[in-house]
Amino acid sequence: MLKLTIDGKEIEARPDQTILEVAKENGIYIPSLCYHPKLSLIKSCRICLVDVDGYEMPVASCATPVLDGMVVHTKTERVEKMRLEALKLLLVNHPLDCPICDAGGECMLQNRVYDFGIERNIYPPEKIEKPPAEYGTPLIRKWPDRCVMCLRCVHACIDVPGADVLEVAEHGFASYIQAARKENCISCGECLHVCPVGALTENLSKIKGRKWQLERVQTTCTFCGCGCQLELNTLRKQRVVKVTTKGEVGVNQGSLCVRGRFGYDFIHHPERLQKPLVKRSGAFVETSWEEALDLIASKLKEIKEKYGPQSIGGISSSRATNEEIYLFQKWMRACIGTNHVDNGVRLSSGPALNGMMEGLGHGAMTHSFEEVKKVDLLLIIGTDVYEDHLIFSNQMRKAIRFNGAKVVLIDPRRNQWEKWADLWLRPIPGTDLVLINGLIHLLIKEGVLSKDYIESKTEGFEELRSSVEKFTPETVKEATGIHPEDLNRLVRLYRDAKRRAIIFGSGVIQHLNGLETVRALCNLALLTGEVEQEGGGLYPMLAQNNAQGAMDMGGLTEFLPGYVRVDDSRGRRLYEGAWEKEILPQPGLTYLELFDQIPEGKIKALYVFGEDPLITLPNLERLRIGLHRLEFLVVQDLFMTHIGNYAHVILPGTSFAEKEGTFTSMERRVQRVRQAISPVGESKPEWEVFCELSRRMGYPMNYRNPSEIMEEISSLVPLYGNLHYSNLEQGGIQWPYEQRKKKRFIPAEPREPIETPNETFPLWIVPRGFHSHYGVGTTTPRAAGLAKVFKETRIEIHPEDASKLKLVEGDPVRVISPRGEVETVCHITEDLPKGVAYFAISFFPVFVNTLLTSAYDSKVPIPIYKAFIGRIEKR
Amino acid sequence: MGDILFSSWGGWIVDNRGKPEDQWQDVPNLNLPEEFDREKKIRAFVGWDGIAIRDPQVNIVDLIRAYIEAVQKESCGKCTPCRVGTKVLSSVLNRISDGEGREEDLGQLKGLAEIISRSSKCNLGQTAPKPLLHALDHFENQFLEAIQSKKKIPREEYKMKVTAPCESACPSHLPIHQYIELIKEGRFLESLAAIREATCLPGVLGRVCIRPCEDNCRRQNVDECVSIKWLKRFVADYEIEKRRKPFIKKEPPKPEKVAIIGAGPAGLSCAYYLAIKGYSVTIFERLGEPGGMAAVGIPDYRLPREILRREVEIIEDLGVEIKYHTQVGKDITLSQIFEQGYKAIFIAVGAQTNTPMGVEGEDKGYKGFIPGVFYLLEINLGRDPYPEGKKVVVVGGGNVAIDCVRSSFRIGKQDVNLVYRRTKKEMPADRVEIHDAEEEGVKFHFLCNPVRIIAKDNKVVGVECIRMELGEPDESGRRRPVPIKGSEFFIETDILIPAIGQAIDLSFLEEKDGIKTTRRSTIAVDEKTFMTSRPGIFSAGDCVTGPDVLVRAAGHGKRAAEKIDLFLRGLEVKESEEERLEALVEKIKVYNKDEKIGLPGGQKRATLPMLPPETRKWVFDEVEAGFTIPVAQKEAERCLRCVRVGLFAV
Repeated sequence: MLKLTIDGKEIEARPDQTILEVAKENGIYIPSLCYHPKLSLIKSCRICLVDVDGYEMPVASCATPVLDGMVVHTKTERVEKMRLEALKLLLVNHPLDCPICDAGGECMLQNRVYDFGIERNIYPPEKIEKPPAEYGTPLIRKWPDRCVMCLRCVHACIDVPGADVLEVAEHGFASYIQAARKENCISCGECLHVCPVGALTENLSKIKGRKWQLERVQTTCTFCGCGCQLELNTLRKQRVVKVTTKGEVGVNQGSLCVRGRFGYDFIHHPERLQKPLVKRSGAFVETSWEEALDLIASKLKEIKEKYGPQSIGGISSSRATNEEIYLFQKWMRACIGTNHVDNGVRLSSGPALNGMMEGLGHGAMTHSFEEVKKVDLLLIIGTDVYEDHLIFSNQMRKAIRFNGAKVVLIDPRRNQWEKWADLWLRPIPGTDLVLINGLIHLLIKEGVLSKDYIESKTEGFEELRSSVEKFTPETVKEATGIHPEDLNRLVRLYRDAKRRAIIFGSGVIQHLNGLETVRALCNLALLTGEVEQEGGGLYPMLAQNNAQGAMDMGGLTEFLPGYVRVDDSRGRRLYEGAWEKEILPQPGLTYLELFDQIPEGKIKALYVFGEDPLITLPNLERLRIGLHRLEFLVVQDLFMTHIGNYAHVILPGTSFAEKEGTFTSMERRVQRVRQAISPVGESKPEWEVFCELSRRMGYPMNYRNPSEIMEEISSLVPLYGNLHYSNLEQGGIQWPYEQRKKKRFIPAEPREPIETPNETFPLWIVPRGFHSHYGVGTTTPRAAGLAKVFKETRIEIHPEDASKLKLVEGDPVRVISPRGEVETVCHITEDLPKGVAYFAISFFPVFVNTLLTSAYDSKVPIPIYKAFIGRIEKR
Repeated sequence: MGDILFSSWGGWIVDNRGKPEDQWQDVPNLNLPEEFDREKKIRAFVGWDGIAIRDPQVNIVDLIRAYIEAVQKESCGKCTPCRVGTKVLSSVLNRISDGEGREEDLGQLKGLAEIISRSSKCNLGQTAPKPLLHALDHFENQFLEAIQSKKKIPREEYKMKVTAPCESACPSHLPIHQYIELIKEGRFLESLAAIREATCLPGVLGRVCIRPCEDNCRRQNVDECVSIKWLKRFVADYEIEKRRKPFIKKEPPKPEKVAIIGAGPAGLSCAYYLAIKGYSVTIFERLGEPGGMAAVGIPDYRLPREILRREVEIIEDLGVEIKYHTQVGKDITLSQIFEQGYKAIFIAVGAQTNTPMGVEGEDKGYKGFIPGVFYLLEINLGRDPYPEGKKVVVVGGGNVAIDCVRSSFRIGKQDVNLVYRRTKKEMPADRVEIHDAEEEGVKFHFLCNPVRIIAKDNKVVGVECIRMELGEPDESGRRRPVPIKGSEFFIETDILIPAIGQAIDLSFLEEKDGIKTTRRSTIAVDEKTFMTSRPGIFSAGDCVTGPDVLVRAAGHGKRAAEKIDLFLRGLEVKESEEERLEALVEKIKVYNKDEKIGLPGGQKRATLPMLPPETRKWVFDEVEAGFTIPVAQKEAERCLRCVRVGLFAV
């Protein structure tokens, strides 16, 4: 600590602090404009200037480190005059259109001008050519006249996502912000968020209120597992008109991705279901809630009585709240008496959960987002974290910016992180496991391991050692195509690092070898004790906003809430006691198995809450046959879905903006979802519906609100022990990652692929998500803004493969696999290796699932999404 | 007697107005050349430190108007006072020059100028108002008259030069402030691209440059200079680490072929910029390795071979062909090159032989007597020059001498000595290098000089030296060493390495080539055009300047490429205006070591992590690791951005 004086006040400070930071900490106000705590130092506005005794020049307090004995004056006549002058200069040519400016009321220029009492433009306007209003994204409108050239936007774009779209064009007074590399823009709106004035405004909704007309409700984003905090801006609690963020709140600290910031207007899409529907003579007709609920309750009772409770199944969504998922499975297990209840998270993240649970004891991220900035090696495998989890990507970038971290990217397809990678390995699709085993083999051979950790905290090391012995560099080369020299580079980078983060996603998880690869990654992390290192460890990228919560809440058939196995009698008894009902002691059918069993006639009734298996599961024909055979199907969703067409009753669901609840993010952080508007139409929050149905079926679940549901959860689930809504008001709470049990090395053996490209089907086809879209596409395609930046699905193909097929960019094509075919257009790009095509899965009415093989691993029953064989033909 | 009418340079007022010309006071703190070029005189100069007027006819109002306009045109737009403030100043001055001024204008100009000079982010805005303030103080009447007369003042012709202390001092004039700014912003590849506009050897210079920029860095007036060289290395390394390929824009191909003799820094630079201009270029290289003295004269622990090779590969990727093991004068002659259709030749053979010490026995061909450059050449080609020898004595105080001693450990010599006739203080070698050599255990023998080589069976066994003392300063400013009579003593050694200087071997030139040489045995060229006495043959680098630094050879190689281009396009080959302006500001001097900057400092420069001496002294691995991203960005943040504008009235 050192001592300095600011405005006569003696203050202690750390040498790494700036004058502005120290002043702020001590309640001394220094006005500023361009300074932003998240960004590198800009120093452009010259408003935070202060005087320091003994120095002739005033200094920018935002950028000047404190020195011992420094005497600072923040309000000398000289600096006050300079601030005033800087403001007067900023007003040259600044249109005083505050009455029609979106920033009115929260504009930093307006506020400063007010503070300084400037009453008019002192300097006459300068004649100047109007800079272009063109911008990087159609979702943001640029008002060049209002720009104060603080350059926050430019730095935000480089520093935070690393997109690097903007720069200063021209010189002097003619200079302006130019979207010089529009092609890099990902429409994340970081620039919009940091703009201190109204030079950038949201260009989406026409109805926009002024600050004082809008109500802002802080809630949790619904578009991925990052768990970003955002504010829904509503008019009269009826309509969401804008999304804003607060810089200091949540894991995202003001950042969002395109979906979070601009994807909200699906909420008010005209296709939203407004009333319950029942099918009469093959057509849906609107009905009342009473009638619909009575019908469902009586039908389910009837089927239960006729065929037994095991003839009923239910699927919930991992986009629903914890309270809803908890209640849904409670209703299914306790009231109906079936364990055939599963959740969409099974398909996206099941193998990650299983693999990590076996090895590490918890099926979750070993650390928190923030800690990743402490690592010096980022190993990214099978995830496009920039496109799918931008906010985590931003955190990872901090490891580079502040810690000089090295980056290894393992992915056949080039993504943004390749730009920052020290090593990029492109294994043949599906061979990641061999590569990781090969890496482990070499690390053990070179002694890159933590002996103490292995001896004291793990078991099974010897089995691991012998299991990886056969994965020599030559074997690795043969299987993966990775040259031994590159493998060696990987070993060196891994060896030279001290803290290593392993970031993996669907590219690993959704493979035939998904479970094994996750095991191998756990082994890798255990080898050097990363799991308990600060920052180092495993970072699984979970797709849905409540994927973690769905697993925590007993959404999966084999687990009661809190990962109590249903076949664990002691644990089960706890729930039986609390719920005052017996629970079946065997796990039921999983998602895929359930639908597989329907055509066999074992399942007679199905309740589908927020899922659309017709677009997620393979073998569409069989699915349809099954759905026709169901005696009763209830679908509850925001929009009409594909499976909805087969339903007997459809219930209109509510979006995240319309209800209370919690989501658990992929860093195990439980956060509040808050109601911002009343439910659209006559839709009803799902938890209310489950209570109503249960009551009608003779098992009353009396909760007045979701908070009471959480009370029950926290009383039963130790991980959620202190999670009460009252505690969550101050921000999210992470459930603890306890390091109790011994960790286990579990050898991971690759299996023979089910199919490999051949003459008829020469390509590997890999389905993937796309940045602006999400999930199966019930919401994002209905968001007008997102449709603007990414309109249609497409298949990506390497130029050489394209030229063989005589394809040019944008050609309509047919994608054919041994199972079926779909139509789309092609996009030719060198980002892929030859012989591999990537397909946007999360899209509109293209049934990519019809192409999938229906084979699966019985241990982890999920479709083999990633990589199947196929060919492309011109249409 | 002075020839400057008025000067406020550096705040030192010399006002000769109204005095007879023979009584004009001199301006001691400003060296303002008389001529702009052959036709034009310099009538006045306005710049970062004030005004100097030579010609009484110069209109001060227009001069200042033009200056502020130039500043506004150059302002980067990244801070308010400079971006908008100088625009307002410029508008007011234009109004006055147009005969539309108002009396209150002067007050406004003064007030705003003072604020801009104190509150601007960088030195451009901080220095720009200075001449205006000087003018308002000393030429107020002229301004009032311009306002009152309501007459339009005719616009005169001026020449503008943007410079910075570091950039002016750099023989290659690298855009230092620009590339450091880009590092600060996190645009590392753009930073490297900016460097490549001025040199094709960023990785090499980022390691071995003698960095005149840092000696001229204004930051040292606050605390310590910015580590400019290492920042350059950082971006060069970043490109390699992140596996990027440079994107270099090339002009469409031109039919003319150019031959270059020597693949050293000058030859490579010339080749690179000619190739970018679309010429097809062939380099004839005597050795089997590119880089010239950069490759064979600089040991690997300072400049890893792969760094140099990569930069050469980039040059080759532009289409430059290098013919190795081709010695001009032996394998091919200059006339033969012309006969093969080459339209121009660039000679850049460097200085690859040693200067004799003038010591008894050095011409006897004793085994163990190995001139420094040959010693390094052998080592760099992977050979021990004299395996039998165990003990080494190197004579000299320059970088080659230091390279010889430090390399000796690395080929396994245990006892390594350096003999220098002056003291450590006078050693021309890089301070850092001397320090590193000391750490590694080199024995230094100062104030002594060899007088006789002692040999037995035609092998060196020792050297007789004499003690020296320092006398009067010589023309280099260093005190001349004088032998102390009778102080001779003997040092036992197997290897004696003279490294007191390099010389140029011009034996490849034939009489009929028609290339004039100088008395110093260098190639005679027109220093502004690099043309030799034979049309179509150009030359630059050490073979013209005599042994000199890499960054100068590289810079001259690039400039020569521009001249060759003019020649091939049939245009007049002459100094460009930019080169002229660069030369002028260099004379005026952009850096002032006595300047008080008035900013708090206390931020030490970032240094590179080093291998410990006991490990590094035996291996050729690079001694220093580069900056990491956060260190580089923090270091770049220390740059004061001392951009300034100078304006010449001609």
